[in-house]
Amino acid sequence: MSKPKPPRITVPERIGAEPEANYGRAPPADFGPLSRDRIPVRAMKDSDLDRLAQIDSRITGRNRRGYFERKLEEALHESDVRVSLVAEVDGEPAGFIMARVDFGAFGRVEPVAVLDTIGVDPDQRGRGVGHALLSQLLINLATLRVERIRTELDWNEHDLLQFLNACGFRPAQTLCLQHAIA
Amino acid sequence: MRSLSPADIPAKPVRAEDVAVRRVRESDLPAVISLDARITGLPKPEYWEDIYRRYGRRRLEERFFLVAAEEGRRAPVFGFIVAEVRAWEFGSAPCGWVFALSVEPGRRLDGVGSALLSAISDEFKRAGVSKIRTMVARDARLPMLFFRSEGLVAGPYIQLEKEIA
Repeated sequence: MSKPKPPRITVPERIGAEPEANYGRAPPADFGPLSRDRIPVRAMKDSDLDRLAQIDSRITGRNRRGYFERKLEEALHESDVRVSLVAEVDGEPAGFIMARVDFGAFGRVEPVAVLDTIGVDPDQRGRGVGHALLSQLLINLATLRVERIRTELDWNEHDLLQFLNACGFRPAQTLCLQHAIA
Repeated sequence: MRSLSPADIPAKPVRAEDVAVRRVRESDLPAVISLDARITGLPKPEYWEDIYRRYGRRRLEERFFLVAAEEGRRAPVFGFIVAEVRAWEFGSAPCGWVFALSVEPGRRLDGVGSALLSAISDEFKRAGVSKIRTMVARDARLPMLFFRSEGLVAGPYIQLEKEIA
């Protein structure tokens, strides 16, 4: 009688004591698990328009309802992939993030996500709403196998630059060129 | 949708005065897809069909998909430009953003790109914006040289990116 063959894949046994949990270790690559756990984030829907325009108006001091109407139409009805999200606090929208998946411009062929806009109700700032939104968006994009996200903003947007920098965004190797046409 | 063969591409250079810039038509799509594939090395028919649906048929007062063409030819498209008025992204003032521009390699230095940019500038003026902007990769010398030669200079926008994987 022949000896039984050993299994082809063996799992090595742990040697030594079980390591202690290291709560001081840096968080994993996904930077916002706690924020995401505390702040529910869901897909954007048509009925969010009023609240989104209201939040934006409180941030910018301008009524941009028409702009949000168009953006919502684009995000929910024109894109093949819906990736725009709303964060809720106490059951009410407290922030939003609008993005789309696109090919790069001028012959660049990699699919990239474009972050169009993000807004958090000024009363809800400092609670991790922005981090929760971005964190969930990145998870969803990773599921779609999108490897990169980019955004464009005015260099005077210091708060936004600081937030995006803290979230791991870095300057792209691109230049903005412009020309007055009036 | 029929793909183009080299025989479809006009052999003689086109004079700048012969360039007619107009809105894209559905029948232009094979030529646009073929031109983009020759330049990028990657055919993207679904992408361009989506761009046509979004920029060639919807909200035409603020979205522009123009082609440079010579009427009467079998394969008339030898350049295209896609742009839109982006209003108030992150609270900024509305302006016209160009995000795609291609010219048939054999037709370059012939005024086609200038004609496309001039036409899109006219569209932006009609839409009420006073600035045209684009974002160009630092190592993309050809678009960089083209836009600089057209008078575009560095603007106050920066692009940020993050690896997701």
